[in-house]
Order: sequence, then C-alpha cells, then structure tokens
Amino acid sequence: MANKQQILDAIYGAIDEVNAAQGSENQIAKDPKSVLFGQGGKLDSLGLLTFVLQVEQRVQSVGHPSFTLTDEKSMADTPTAFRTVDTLADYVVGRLGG
Amino acid sequence: MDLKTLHTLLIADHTIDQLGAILKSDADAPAMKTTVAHFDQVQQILMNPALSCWKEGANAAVVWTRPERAIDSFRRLMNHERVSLDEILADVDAFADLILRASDRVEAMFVPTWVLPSWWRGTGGLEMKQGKGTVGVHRALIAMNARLCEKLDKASRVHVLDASRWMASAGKSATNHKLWLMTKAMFSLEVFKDAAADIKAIVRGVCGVSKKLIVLDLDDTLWGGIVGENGWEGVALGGHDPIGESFADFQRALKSLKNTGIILGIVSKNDEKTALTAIRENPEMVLKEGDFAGWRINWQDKATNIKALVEELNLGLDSVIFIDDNPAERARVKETLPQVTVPDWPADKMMYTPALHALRLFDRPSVTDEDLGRTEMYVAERQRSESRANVSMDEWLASLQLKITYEALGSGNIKRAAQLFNKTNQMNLTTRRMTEAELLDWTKNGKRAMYAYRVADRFGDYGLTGLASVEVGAGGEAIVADFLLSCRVMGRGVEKAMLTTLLNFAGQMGAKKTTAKYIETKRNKPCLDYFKDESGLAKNDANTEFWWEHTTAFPMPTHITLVEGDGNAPASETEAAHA
Repeated sequence: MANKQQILDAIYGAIDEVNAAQGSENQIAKDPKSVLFGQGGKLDSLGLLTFVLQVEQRVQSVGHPSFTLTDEKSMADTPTAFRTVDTLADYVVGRLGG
Repeated sequence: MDLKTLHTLLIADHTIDQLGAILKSDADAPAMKTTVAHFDQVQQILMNPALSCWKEGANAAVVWTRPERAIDSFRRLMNHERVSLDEILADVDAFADLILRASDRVEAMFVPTWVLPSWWRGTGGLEMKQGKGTVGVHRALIAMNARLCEKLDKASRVHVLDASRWMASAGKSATNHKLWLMTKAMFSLEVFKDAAADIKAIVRGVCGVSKKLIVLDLDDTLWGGIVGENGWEGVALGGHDPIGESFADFQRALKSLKNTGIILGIVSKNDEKTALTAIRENPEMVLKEGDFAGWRINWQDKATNIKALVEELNLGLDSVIFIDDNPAERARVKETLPQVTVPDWPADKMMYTPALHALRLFDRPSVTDEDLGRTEMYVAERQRSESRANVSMDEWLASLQLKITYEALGSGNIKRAAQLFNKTNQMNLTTRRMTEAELLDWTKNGKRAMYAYRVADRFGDYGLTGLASVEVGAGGEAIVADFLLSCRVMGRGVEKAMLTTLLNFAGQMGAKKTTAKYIETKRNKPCLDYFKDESGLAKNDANTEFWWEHTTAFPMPTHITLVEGDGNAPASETEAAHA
C-alpha cells in the first residue's frame, strides 16, 4: 500500500537533486502544482530522464524494490502522468496499487 | 587566469551537459561559462586545434573519458582478451601526449581519473591479479591512472582530478546503467556536483584566492569543555573517549593543513595565561604553541580580535576562515567582517574533521618551501618583535645578523620568483606582471640582470622575498626595471642591499648613471616613500625618478652580510615533493 505523502517526498527529493543542474531561472518548486512535462515545464529531455530515474530510485528505496518508471507503459503514459508533481504522485501510487 | 572570465570547454565521450549546467549555476566563485564539445570526439578534438570548439574563447577545458573508450587495449582487456599491461600503458602514454599538446590551448585543463561504473564487478577475485601475459582489469586501471598522473605532471596547467573519490562519495548511485542506456550519461548529478566543486576549488587556488589563515576558537573547538572552569586536566582531548578522540583527530587534521603552509591562529574568549598553559602542558595537545602564528586570547569582541590578528600577520581578511563551535560568535563575525569566511559548523563534535575536509578552501597548484615554513616565519617574527623592545633601531638591526643571498633566476628559484613577481603590490617600483617563461626569457639579454634575494636572520629564514632587475642601455644609462620586496622584510636595510647588487652590475657593464622610475599604482605608495625618503638616491622634483651617479660606490648597510648564491641549485626535497 503506497502512501501519497511518502511518494511526494520521494518526488521532492528528486526535484532537489535535478535543481542543482537547472540554473536559477529554471528551478522547479517543490509544489504539487509544479509542471514537469509539456507546456510550462522546465526540464529538458536529459533533465526529465534524470528526474524520472531519480524518482524511480527513491520509490524503490522506500520499500518498492521492483518499481519502475522506465518501462514501456510508463513511457506511453508520460504526457499525462508526468504533467505535474501531483499527477505523477497519483500515477506512482496507482502503479503501486495504492 | 582571471576569476571573472572563466569559459570552460567540456570534452567527453559521455553526456556531460549536466556538469556544464552545474558549473554555470553553482554560486561559488568563479562564475563560469561552458561549452560542450561534440559528443564522443575526444581524440579528434584534442588532436585538431583548428576545430571550432577551440575558437570560441575557452580558457579552460575538462577532458573526461571512459577508460574503455579512450584506451582501446583496455577495452579489449575488459572483454578478457589477452592484453599485456605494457601495451595498455603505451596507449596511456599516447593519450597523455594528446592531452599535453592540447593543454597549450587553454590556461587550465582538468582531467578526471578513469573509473568504472559502480556496479561493475568484473571477474571478482581476479580483478587485482597479474596473469600469464595479461593483468586484472582493476589492477590495470590503477596502473593506468598512476601512469596518466605521472605523464601529466609535466604540465603545470594540467590538473588531474580524483574521480574515484566522487564515486565513493556518491556510493551506489554514482552511476546508473539505465541512465547510461537512455541518455549516455555515465555519471549521476551527485558525481557532477562533486566534480564541479573540485574544479572551482582548484581554479580559486590557481588564481591565488584560496584561504591562508584558519582562526580557531579554543573551548569546544580545539578541545571539549571550558578550560577556565575545568583546568587543562579536565578538558576532553585524546584518550579513550570518542569525544576526546574526535578533538585530537580534528587537531591532527589542522596540523596536516599547517604542514602544507596553511597558517593557524587563535581567537578565544579566555584568560590568556590559562589557555596558553593548557596548550603547553596538556600532553594530549597535537597542536603545539609553535604551530600557531599568533593569537588573541582575551575577553574582547572576537571580530575586533580577528581583525587585529590578521593585521599583525599582514594578511587580507578575505584569506581568513574562522572556526568556532558557538553559533552566536560565528554570526557576530559574519556580520562584522563579511570578507571572512565563517563556515557553518556541526553541533556534533565528532563531525569536526569531516567538516574541515569538506570545505574545499585550501587548494593550491603547488606547495613551495616558503609555504612549508610560513608558520615558523611568523613565530620568528614574534620573537623578533620581542627582541626589539628597549633597544635602539641600530642596535636592533645589528642584533638581527641579517644575511642576504642574491642569485640569478634559474630552475631552483623560478617558481617562487614568479609567484612573488606577480603578487607583490606594495613595495613594487613598476608592478610588471610576467610568467615564469617570460621572466627567464627577459634575463637572456647580457645587458640585463635580474636577481632573486633570500633573506635570513638569527631568528629564522624568510626565504625568497625580493626581486630586482636592471637593464644597461647603450648610452651608459641603466634603468631599474623591477624592484619588489615582500613587506615582511621591509625597513631592515634589505632594500639598500638590493640596490647595491643592481648598481654593482650596472657599474660593471659601464653605466654612468642608474635610474629608478616609479610607476604609481593604487597600492605601491610604500615603494615611493622608500625611494623618496630612505634610498639615498637623488630625485627629481616630481618624485618620479631616482638615480645614482656611478662616481662613488653605493653605501652598503654594515649590518648585512651579502653573498652570491646559485639560482640553478636544485629545489629542496620538500619543495620538489610538493611542487
């Protein structure tokens, strides 16, 4: 059973990590409404993949060792699932059966 | 190199854009502009100076390669083909030659050592073995990195960086095979962050803005507890207690910095006699009284004391860091002396040593003999000041037993001479700036002489502290091209001894008159004051030209012994080890 706050914390940890390479004008706020993908998003393709892998690692480390965000299904779901921090958290919780 | 204009070219066989982004966005000096060269074209880029990436104004470069890509014989070894270590090292030599040739195109080149992905285990127990005609992969990698360092030692502008430390610090997440497959990024952001911080620290060191003085509090900083309340026998230091051990450990870390030329000082709210007794009497003290260049131990405001101590040691406030366990004292110093670096300090006393290592404030391109003996020089200076009390100036100068050795520039002194030439501001007649090569080149003309001066007295050795040069023209007039002296030895007659050597050379070369022309800068008024008031030279009304007619001998101070040395004498063992 996945706890949404736990997943949000994992996402925020990943945001902290990628912000180091984002420059002051492209910092991503640790806020459920922050846009991650699509119009208004601040991550380039390399940044997005780095972010996805960061979230994946962090979710794995909180008790879901086989969780993945880089399988074909996740990639297909990217436009909607990765739209904002909140949609991503819901998506991860859903994938974990929360 | 200029801290304001660093433009770094990133050359790699893996995706390195994120290192560029971190170098640009990181707030620590220097600010950087970065350009990423074409992906996976390392050899071609290093070989060809005509490529456009070299034409965009980069004055620094990072060359970061994967060992299996840069060294083909190593790639074959990883596939367990039979490859000898000699073949691999020959390939390393060829690659190092490429780097050395390309390094001429920039002022600084950074080369991280080769590492393998954190998940790579290879053949386990065979990794470190030597087999028949072949070698274990990790064993080969160690030898490759050692060979790379050895080859690149030849170029002072090339800096090899230890990537294995960044890998160890990031742990399992240093590399992510998925990230590699999806983006060709070999390293995680954690590794890039460490790399960027190390690169910036080295640049600061090369630019001469690394820290020189650590000012330390005493109670709960160098030992545990309050010495004024518990006595030196009652403080936590050494022994078989983790807190006591952590303070001894911290003192050892400070002493190792002192052994590389970093100066230590004390600013503490304490009774001076009690604190000094603790330093002298406590057998667990790793740092001894002679390890501290100076101190202010009293009940006055610490910011005021730091300022006074820094003035006494003739340093700038921006070269100082202040370490104190007390957040209120740190806040006060931060607010009052914003030029002083005041790091946040861990409340957990057992974490002091890692906190010191994490500072990245002490990087320097090399360590000279003068660096190594710096604290001793300050201690000797303290003894000189004490000896000066209650005697006349002449008596005091005579008691110093000053000895000045002058020598032509050569391999044994050029590094320190160039350092002094380019950093001296106050006692500097013309404030020219030249590289080591330019200085040596300038002296090749037989009508010119440039001397380096080493100064010593009965209290100790100041090292190489002066430089002066003269050029004799065809019409019998000689011009003093340079005249510069460390402020540590000003006002003791050293200046006159320097003038004596220049005038002797000019006289021997047929000069009838030797002139020193003062070029004003914002900081060289002390030099004008010397030439105007104390040099004994004739002067014009504008106080811009000072001269000596070679009709009589220039009066050499009688309290100084002047001897000629050899600038090509090899550097001492310590200097060679650290250069």
